[in-house]
Amino acid sequence: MKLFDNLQKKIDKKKSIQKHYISKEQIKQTAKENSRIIKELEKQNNRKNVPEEEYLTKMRDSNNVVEFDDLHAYFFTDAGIVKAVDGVSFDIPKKSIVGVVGESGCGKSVTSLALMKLMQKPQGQIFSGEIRYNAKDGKAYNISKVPREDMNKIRGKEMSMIFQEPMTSLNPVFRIGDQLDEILFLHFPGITPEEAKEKSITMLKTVGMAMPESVYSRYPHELSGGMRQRVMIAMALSCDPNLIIADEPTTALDVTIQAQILDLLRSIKNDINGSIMLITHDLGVIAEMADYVVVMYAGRIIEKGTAREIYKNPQHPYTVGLQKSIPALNLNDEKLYTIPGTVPNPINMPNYCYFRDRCNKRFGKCDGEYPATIQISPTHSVACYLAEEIAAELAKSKDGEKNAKK
Amino acid sequence: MSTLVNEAKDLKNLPNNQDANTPQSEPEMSLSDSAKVISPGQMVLRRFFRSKLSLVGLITLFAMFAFSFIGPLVSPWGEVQITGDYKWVTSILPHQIVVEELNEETGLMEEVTYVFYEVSEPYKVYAKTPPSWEHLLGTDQYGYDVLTRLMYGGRVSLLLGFLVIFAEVIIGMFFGSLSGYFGGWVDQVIMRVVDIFNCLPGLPILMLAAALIDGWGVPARQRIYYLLGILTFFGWSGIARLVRGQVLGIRELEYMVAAEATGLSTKRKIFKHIIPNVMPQIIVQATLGLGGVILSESTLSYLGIGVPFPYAAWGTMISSTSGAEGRDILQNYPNIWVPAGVCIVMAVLAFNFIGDGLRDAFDPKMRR
Amino acid sequence: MPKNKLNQVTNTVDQDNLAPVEKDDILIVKNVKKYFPLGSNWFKKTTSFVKAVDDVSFTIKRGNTLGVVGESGCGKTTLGRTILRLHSITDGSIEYDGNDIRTISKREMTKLRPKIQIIFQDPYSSLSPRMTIGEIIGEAVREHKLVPLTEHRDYILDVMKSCGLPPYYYSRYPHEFSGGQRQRICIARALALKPDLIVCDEPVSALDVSIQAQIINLLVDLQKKFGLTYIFISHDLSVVEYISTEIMVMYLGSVVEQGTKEQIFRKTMHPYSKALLSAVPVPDPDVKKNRIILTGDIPSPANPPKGCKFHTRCSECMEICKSVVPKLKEYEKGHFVACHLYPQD
Repeated sequence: MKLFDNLQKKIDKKKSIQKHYISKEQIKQTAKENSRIIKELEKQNNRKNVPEEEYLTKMRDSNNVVEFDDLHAYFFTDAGIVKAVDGVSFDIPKKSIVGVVGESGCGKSVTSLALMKLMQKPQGQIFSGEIRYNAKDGKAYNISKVPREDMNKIRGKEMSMIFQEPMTSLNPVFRIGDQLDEILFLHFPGITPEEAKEKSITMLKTVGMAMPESVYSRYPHELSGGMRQRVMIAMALSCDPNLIIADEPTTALDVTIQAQILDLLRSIKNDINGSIMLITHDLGVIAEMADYVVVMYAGRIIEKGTAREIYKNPQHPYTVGLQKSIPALNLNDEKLYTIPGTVPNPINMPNYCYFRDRCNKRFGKCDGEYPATIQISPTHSVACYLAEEIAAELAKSKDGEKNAKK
Repeated sequence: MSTLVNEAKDLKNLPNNQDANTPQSEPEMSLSDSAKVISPGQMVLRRFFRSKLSLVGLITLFAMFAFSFIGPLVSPWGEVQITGDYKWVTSILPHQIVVEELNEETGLMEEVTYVFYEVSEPYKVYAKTPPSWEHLLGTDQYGYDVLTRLMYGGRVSLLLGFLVIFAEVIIGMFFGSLSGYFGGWVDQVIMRVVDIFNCLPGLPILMLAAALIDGWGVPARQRIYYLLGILTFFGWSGIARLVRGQVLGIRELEYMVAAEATGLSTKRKIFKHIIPNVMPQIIVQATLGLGGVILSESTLSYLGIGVPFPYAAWGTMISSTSGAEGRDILQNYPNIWVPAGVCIVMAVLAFNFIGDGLRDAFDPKMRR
Repeated sequence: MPKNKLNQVTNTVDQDNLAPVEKDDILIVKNVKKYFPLGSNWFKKTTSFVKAVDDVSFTIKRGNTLGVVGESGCGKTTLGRTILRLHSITDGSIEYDGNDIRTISKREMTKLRPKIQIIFQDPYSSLSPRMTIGEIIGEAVREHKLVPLTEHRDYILDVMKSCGLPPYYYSRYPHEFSGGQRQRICIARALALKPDLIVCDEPVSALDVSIQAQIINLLVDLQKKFGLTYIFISHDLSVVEYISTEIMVMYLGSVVEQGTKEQIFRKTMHPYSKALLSAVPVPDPDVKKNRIILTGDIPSPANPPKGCKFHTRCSECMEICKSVVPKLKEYEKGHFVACHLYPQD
């Protein structure tokens, strides 16, 4: 009998092991399914001579530069679909800095890449949802429908990007000047080389380069990290973009250089009259820079609002936890606050709140499905049952007050 | 996958609710206890088998091995068995007899060589027969069965290929890791030797060596082993250079610095930390090199300095197009030389596919 | 039973320690220099150097944490590695428990290795991908024969537990783990050797905020539990302030200011320290700081400016700064500053 039990145990264990790994058939199936979807989406992307009407749309609010509306951006892998961005909606108002914060893998970078249509193809695709972009000429484009060919006109000229790694974002075999001029030639056909050079040098001056003429004729390896990031910013600025996307622009830099670059970004925001989408994991940087803050977790927005609302009145336990876990200067706590655990597996996300398993304020309701977003103030919204509860209580007490007054 | 997440959650449910401020009791869970352990090697294999091209290579290779090593056991013909109307030919190797004889013209005694073929009866050799059920690929100009000789030729090529590469890897790894790990003058000396080896022209040296070896009176049958020895001698330098580069890279990685800081012995650092991490590149290089060795072996045989005539080698079989009857065979009897050529191409392609497949499977993206 | 093992060992070390040095000072670093040869002439004679660490002295008391801050290229990583003699030491002396690390023989150094450990910044490249976690942590323990072979596995599991690693990690490979977990493994590897001093070289810089807090708490807990001494190297001032008892600010290979946490953060004296402090972004939108923004970049350490190395970026630069190197002087007990703004004599 004992032998039989042992055998049964072994079989059970084997079965449980098998459950954790996807079988070959499953992989084949997902791969097949994926390639079908990818093909379809790629076909849409690669179309040529598409009439403009097809991807023109209307902004919900003409004061916004970009409106993300229920954006879903997925990566189709053999192991399953990675929902890197899973239903994200937020706006970037004109002349503002919108900060997107979150830990690595939360989808903040993918959101910006989707906006630029630079997701790694063919696996990375915008699956559904709209990104409305308010161009300089007053037209509104639905980026998710713009075919690749036409996207080149928008990219660079209308919006440009600053990357994290200033070391690898510049081509090492060309002079700084050539790389700056090239962009101008591309977006302003008919510009003479002299004009381009003049404009490039002005650009370098704008970003606070001490000797723009000499930098113009230097190679990237001759510049320090901070200077390269300035060149990157000059490149991003050179076509007067409406929107600059800065993806962790200061993460690779030293504190003192970071302060310089942030200062520069702030000042150019006023100069270019455009908006900046600032992506970073550093809450300090966001607090100093951003007007509006979007907090992302596992592909979704869990809280958004003005910087003041997010920092002074955070509602979501994750936002609270993040803020408490930074060892801030001149704050002497016995022990640092920590959020236990890690971000859940991006494939096959649970159907309840993604943060539930790490949350210290979990209660009965959290076992239900993913919480809906509730509006706390016109600008502040949060996706959490706890906030819902509090809001309901507040409403009740207000009602009670009203009743009492009556 | 979903069960994985669920289980991790279950494990956490117990202590979680009370206090989120105790990090130590809460390790980051992403895998459950019962999930199977996959070593990096297994991961590589998984990826390897996912690629169709490498599978094709692997299957081809297995087929060729079976063909060369099991085939002769099944084949009714021998490697040097002549088909013809005869009772039995004991040997087709000639006997040489040297006799002293009187030269009638000069009136002096001279050494004269007589060559005898041992044949029981006069016979008619069925040479250059077209493919038939008896001889699936026909017979060649001497009456040997082409298919059977292909099998024997495969034995030589595959076996020698592996031997040479194995020896090259051992030598190359030894000198390469020495050079990379210790640096300084050790590195200088070894790398200059490698440089010298790299600028020697391979083929002329081998041809010279072949002539020398013959001059020393080494039996023709063994000549190919000597030549391949020389091939190894000149071939390890590539692997040594590769290993050195890899070691130089790994030496700077932080786990090596950590090994230094924990006070591990040099032996352990090299064998436990460096070698396993260089292995992937070496395996890829070796697999890709195998094709090259097979090609060199065939070239030597084709030039007549490889496996000597009555024995089969793919290269020798192709060289039948260059003899006195060469043109005739080239034009009219493709069944004699084309199969050997196809075999060479297939073997080399198979090794290259496997090598490429392995390289993709070992991709450094593995780190995450 | 195995639980107490770690404690026992630290106790025995304490007893050993009574010998030569003053009981409290675990590490005394005196005028250490580390120059890397840069160029050499035809006769292999080195003509120029990068002075990565240039005349640095400090002392750490057992159980304390010395934070080393500075921008990239200031020599803080080199300093950390020099203390472990992972680089040869150009000049000066490093005294650990009465042993001069610079002069002792290789064999003695190997014996001393377990006592001083290091944790690196990049948790991805600091674990050999082809070894299991158990092997990684236990390898050196076996090499130094720290525990009997029969108790080896239990001991490793014990160490893993104190670093918050569940036992089933033992036979797994690094590729399965995230950055935070890998960093725990690195800490366990160091801890398994029963060290007294751990050099933490930017251990949390590559981690996410929430994971960063977990690792810092772990380090603090371990310090309390095993009486460890840390040298905590980081560019993140807020982390350094949280974890350190003493702080050393470095600029281009030299110490510009050194003191207790309170002295550095509340009574900041050196203009560079002031600029560093003010550059840290504060996670509060209402605090609009009066920021000192340093102009320009850090000069190349191969060709540092004459006089005070900081004078090219200093807002309070005087004539004397351009020619005379300021001496590191004690202005308050334990508070050292090297600046001409303060009386040098």
